Amino acid sequence: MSGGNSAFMAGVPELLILKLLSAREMYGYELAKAVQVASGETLSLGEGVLYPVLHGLEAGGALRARTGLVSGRRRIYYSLTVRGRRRLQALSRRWQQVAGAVDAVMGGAHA
Amino acid sequence: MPEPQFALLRRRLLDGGIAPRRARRLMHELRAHFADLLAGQLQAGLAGPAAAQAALQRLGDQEALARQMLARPELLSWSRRWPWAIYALAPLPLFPAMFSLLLATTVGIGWVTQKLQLASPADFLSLMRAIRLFALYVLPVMLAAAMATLAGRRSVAPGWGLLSIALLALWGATTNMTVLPHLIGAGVGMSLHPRVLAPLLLYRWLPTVVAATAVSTISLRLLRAREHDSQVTENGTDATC
Repeated sequence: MSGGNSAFMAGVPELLILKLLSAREMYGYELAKAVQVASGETLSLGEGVLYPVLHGLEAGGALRARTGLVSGRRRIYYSLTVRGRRRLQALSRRWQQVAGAVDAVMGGAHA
Repeated sequence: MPEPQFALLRRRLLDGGIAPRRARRLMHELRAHFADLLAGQLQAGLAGPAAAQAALQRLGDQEALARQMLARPELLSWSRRWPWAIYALAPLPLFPAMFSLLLATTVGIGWVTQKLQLASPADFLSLMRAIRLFALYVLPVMLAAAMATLAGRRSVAPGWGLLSIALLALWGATTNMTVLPHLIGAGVGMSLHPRVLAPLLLYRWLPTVVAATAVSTISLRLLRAREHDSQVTENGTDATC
């Protein structure tokens, strides 16, 4: 993930992945591209982050994996489960709290 | 166009305790990801080798990927997460289950053979005695060696594999089976009296432990040699691309 690997940003890749997969199922490369496009090329998920998070979410029951064929090549598609939707809701709420708090601090600093 | 080799990454993941099925899937995903990155670089106008180089760079550091995977306990194999359950508890029902299955099969064969008069009583008795020898002396070695080989393949501490061998050998040593012309019987028993215990340990437990250790050591070496050969073949094929 560009922009450092601090504990502060630890849940962000998971949030982005869950959010994008809530719209439709995707495979790894497709998801990495989607993060880039959706963030206006500001964020990029490196493979060193993307796949461990995908596998971790799948092992935890938040994602479901299935095999599909694209242009003759086998792909592993990921989609959200009910547990994944709940996790997304929880992470989104947390993120909004953090973002709101940061905004408040930044607003205060600018004032 | 050459694809990057992930054999070292795969080995690192397996040695770290990642479940083999998961490691296989990740290798597949990385190959597909590389192919997509490469196609993107070629479309962007880069020539073959430069495109491959750029795609590899975009793919990122394999060591970092391995560290991230290994940092997640939920991705580890059952053997690595709960070795006590796999290597200390599972052998307890494993041997009785397999032995009972074999005994049931033996009784079934005996019943069919006698009902349909497929074999003379002498042939039938020989067959039953062969099954008895297998159940008492070969089955414990096979099961113990399989568990120890599994422990070796999953790179768990060697003590777990040895514990499995010791437990299964003890089951084998304390089990008996009798085959008579019209009777097949089986039972489990052990005495702590030195006169019973010493020969049991010396003539049944110890040989099973030694045989299972030897079989699992040979199996592991053969499996690693095969793995090494397939890596060499893969690299050789790659070099000719």
